[in-house]
Parts: sequence; C-alpha cells; structure tokens
Amino acid sequence: MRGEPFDIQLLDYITGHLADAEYERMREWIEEEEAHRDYYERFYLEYLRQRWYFRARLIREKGRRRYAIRGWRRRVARYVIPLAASVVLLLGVFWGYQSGMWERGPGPVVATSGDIVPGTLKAKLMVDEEQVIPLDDNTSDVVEIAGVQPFVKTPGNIDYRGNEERSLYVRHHLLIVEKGGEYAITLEDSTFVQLNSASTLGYPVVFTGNERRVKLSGEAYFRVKSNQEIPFIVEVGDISIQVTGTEFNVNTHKKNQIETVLVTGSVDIIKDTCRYPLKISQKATYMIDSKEVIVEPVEIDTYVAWKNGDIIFVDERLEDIMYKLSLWYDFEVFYAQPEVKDILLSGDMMKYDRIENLLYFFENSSGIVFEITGRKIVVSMKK
Amino acid sequence: MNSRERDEGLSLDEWYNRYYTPLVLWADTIIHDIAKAEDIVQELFVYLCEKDRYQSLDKIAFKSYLYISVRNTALRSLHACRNIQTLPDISIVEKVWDEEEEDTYEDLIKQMNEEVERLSPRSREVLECVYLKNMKYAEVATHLNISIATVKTLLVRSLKNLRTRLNKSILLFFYHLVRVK
Repeated sequence: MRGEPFDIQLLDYITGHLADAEYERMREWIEEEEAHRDYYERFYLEYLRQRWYFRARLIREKGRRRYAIRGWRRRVARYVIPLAASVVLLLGVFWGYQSGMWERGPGPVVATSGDIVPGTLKAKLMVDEEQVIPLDDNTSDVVEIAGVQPFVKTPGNIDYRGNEERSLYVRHHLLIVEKGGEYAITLEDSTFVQLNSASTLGYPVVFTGNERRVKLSGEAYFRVKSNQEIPFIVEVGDISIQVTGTEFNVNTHKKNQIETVLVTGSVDIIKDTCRYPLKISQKATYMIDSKEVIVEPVEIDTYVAWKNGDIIFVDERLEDIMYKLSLWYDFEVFYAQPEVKDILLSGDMMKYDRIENLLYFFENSSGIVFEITGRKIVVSMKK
Repeated sequence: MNSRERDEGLSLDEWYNRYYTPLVLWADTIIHDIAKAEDIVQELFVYLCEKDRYQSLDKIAFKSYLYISVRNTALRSLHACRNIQTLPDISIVEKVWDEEEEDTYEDLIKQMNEEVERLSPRSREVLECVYLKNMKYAEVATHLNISIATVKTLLVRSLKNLRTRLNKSILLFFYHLVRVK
C-alpha cells in the first residue's frame, strides 16, 4: 500500500488526468521495478472491475439481438436449407415429418403449436355488392367479370392494363386483402400497387378525366406510372396524397396516424387547403386527432422492407410490433401485464419464416415470455 | 480445466454469448459511450461471421484477438482531441472478466454487490456519478457540494476498500503473475 495521495496520482495516470511532467514521472516509476509494475497492473485491474461493474448496467443489448438474428439466419442457411432440400426430395415418403425438421433445427422455446403460419397470396375482388371473386396463388388468366377483363398473369398480381370502359359511367372495384394475406394490383394506367395484410384499395377499372384517384385503407406500396398531365391521388382517411410519378409507402395501421414515406420522386400531402411537400427519404405523419402533419427524415428500409419479404423493427414498442405481426400471421394478442407493451425491441426476419423463431429471440433478449395456444399469443414478463 | 482449455473449440456464438458484455465494457472504457461500444462489438462479430472468417482464424489466442480488435477499433473512433488515457496490457483486461480460478462471473458480481453495499452512501454516490452518469470530477464535486480532492479520495478509497476485502482473488492474482513469469 503506498498511501492515498499516490493512489490518487495513479488513478489520474490511468484515466488521463495527469499533466505531461507528472505523467512521465509516473511512467518511469512503473517501469522502474517489477514490483511497481505489478502494483500498477493490480490497481488497474481493480479500477476496471469497478468501472465495468457499474457500467454493465447501461448495456442495452440491442446489438446482441441484431447479431443473434443474423447468426441464426446463417445457421438456417447452413443446416436447415440443405435439410429442407432433402426433405423435398423424399417428400412422398416423409411428408408427415416435415414439422420434425424444425424441431431438429434451432428449436424455439415457445410452444410450437403450428397453428400460426405466415400469410399467403390471397385477396377478394369486390366487383359490386353481389359479386365477390376470391383470388389466391392458384388464380391465373382472365378473371371473369362482365364488362371488364382483368387478368392474373403472375400469381398475386391482378392486372387491369388494356381494358376499356365501354359503359357510360366509370365502374369501381375494391381489392380487399384480409389479415394473413397479401396481393398486388396493376392499374389500367400501369401504376403498380402492392397491398399489405388488412388493407383495401378502391379504384376505377379505367382512369378517365383529369385525375387518377384511388382510395386506400391499411398499408400499400405505390409505384405510380409517371404522367405529368394527370395527377395520381390517393385518398387516405381525411387527407390525400398527390403525385405525378413516384414510389412511396402509405400506412394507416398505426394508431391515430397515417404515415407516408417517400422512396423516389416527390409527393404532396394535402389536408383541406394545406399542402405539405415531401422529399425523398422523408416521412409525413398525419395525426388523426390533432390534424397535424409532421415531416421528418427517416431510414426508408424499415418502412418498405415488407414489400421485399422482410420485417424489420428498430426500437419499436412491443405492442406495435405484435400488432404488425398479428396482421400478417393472423393471430390475437393478449398481455398479462400492461407494462410489457412498452418494451422496446429490435430485430429483423424474413416474413415467410415461422413466427416462433422471432419470438424465440425476443424471449432470449428481453425477459418476455410468449405462450402460443391455437391462434392466440399471451405475452407476459418472465417471473 | 483452465479458461484457455475451456475456450478452445467454442463456436462463434458461444464466444459471443460469453464475451459480449466484457468486450462492450472494454470498448466503453476507451470511448466512454456504451451505445457506440455495443455497435463496435456487434460489428466485429458480424464481420467474423461473414464469409466464414471465423473458421479460418487461429483459435489459440482468440480471446486476446477479440480484446485487441475491440481496442483498436475503439481507439480509431476516438476524437483526436481527447485526453488519451493509459491503456493496460491486454492480459490485464482479459482478467477482469474471468479469473483463472473457478469463480464464475455471477459469483464476482455477487461479491461486488456486497462490497458496494458496504461502502458509505457518499462513496456510492460518487461512484454512480462518475461511472453511470459519466460526470467529470468537477461536476461531481459541484453536484455533491464537496471538493474535487474529496471526490478523488472517495474514488480511490472505494477501490482500496474493495481491494482489502477481495483479498482472496488478489492473492490468486499475484500467484498467477508469479507463475506466468
């Protein structure tokens, strides 16, 4: 033990608080003898142990989750895909064992009931009050409707190009995608719209007049065919989004909000007589209660990942995450304790994966427990 | 079984689970920013898992490799103007988390908890201000209405208190030093 003033100097030396001359003197002292060096190293070790002990509480483990999920994908690519390939080869014989494949893989701790599965290509095309045509991934060719003939050339995309309106008034169709579904549409003007689960698009079978107007609820990704003369207008709630040719995502699935995220081009958000122009990589949030529009820059990927088959969460509330997932996987959520809803989580997954795999990582990284029974998920804190 | 034998043959995920926290704390020791420290460690592991880099690395001194990589990245990300603190030898850093003996990290934390409980409330306050709130000595002094000298004294004394009580592991630590030489 060398006395307190000396130890204070040593602490200052370690933490970079010493002036040059004193610093040099301390360095020389340490190099002088092996015993000095030992004293210094032991002191440093204790300093680190103490600092780390306190600082460890500040670790949020956000990074851990991200790596874990990437690592998991890597393992899936290495083991499960070849395994799945062999299962396909022996499909005739081993059909019944397919679920077993998952148990041999990185098995989730949550109960694997198998009732909750990813969404599929499906929608309902409402022609009028009487005629509703179901669409799924087997639907192909021309859809039989009197007057117009939309066709499905690629599964999951109903195409109106090449139609002509022969009747006197413009007919409107409604494309309804329910929970657990997704579907896309190519409108008569070649505008492409991809609808997420629990979303509805209303549109004329043919665009006439000096504007192209559609109506949306839910979430959709728009790639609007450029036409400077005839603006394209999306009505969402009590605002409208006006564009000439551009790509953007609209989402009404969040409570009390309508979100528009611009990917390319430019759009205007119109509320009554006010116009809010949006630039690339900006998000406009319309607050339904207060009727305010907030424009801010965002990371686009998070908002449009769904259309590329991914689901990404960055520091989102558990309740919002579960709501989003419940639309795609079509399940109901119950919370054992209300506090759980506000836990922030990050993660990403492929949206055709089983939900258990994502929940498994949430469990591992947070202290939340998910219990799956049939199509219900109960969320609670670990006891 | 010593820690070296135990560590050989670990998968990258096992390394990750075992050393994520100490590596973050080590990066944080240098850059004083836990969130950035987490990014550094995360990036390192993502880098290692890509293109099977981990498979082609020598595992014998892998723990040192991890600590050194984290230190180098952390130093690179430091602003040039910051006071450079003196960093210890990696062999010291490696020992903070796992001692040579049987003590697990949980034991260590439990021990630390008890030690910190025994400190005076003032000392604990100083430690919390310095380590958790990232406050400068002068700020802590103003905040607690004491002199800077007292802040330093309390810091060092808390170290010393811990030191006398953690006698056992220190003896082992010395033993280890002697044995290595």
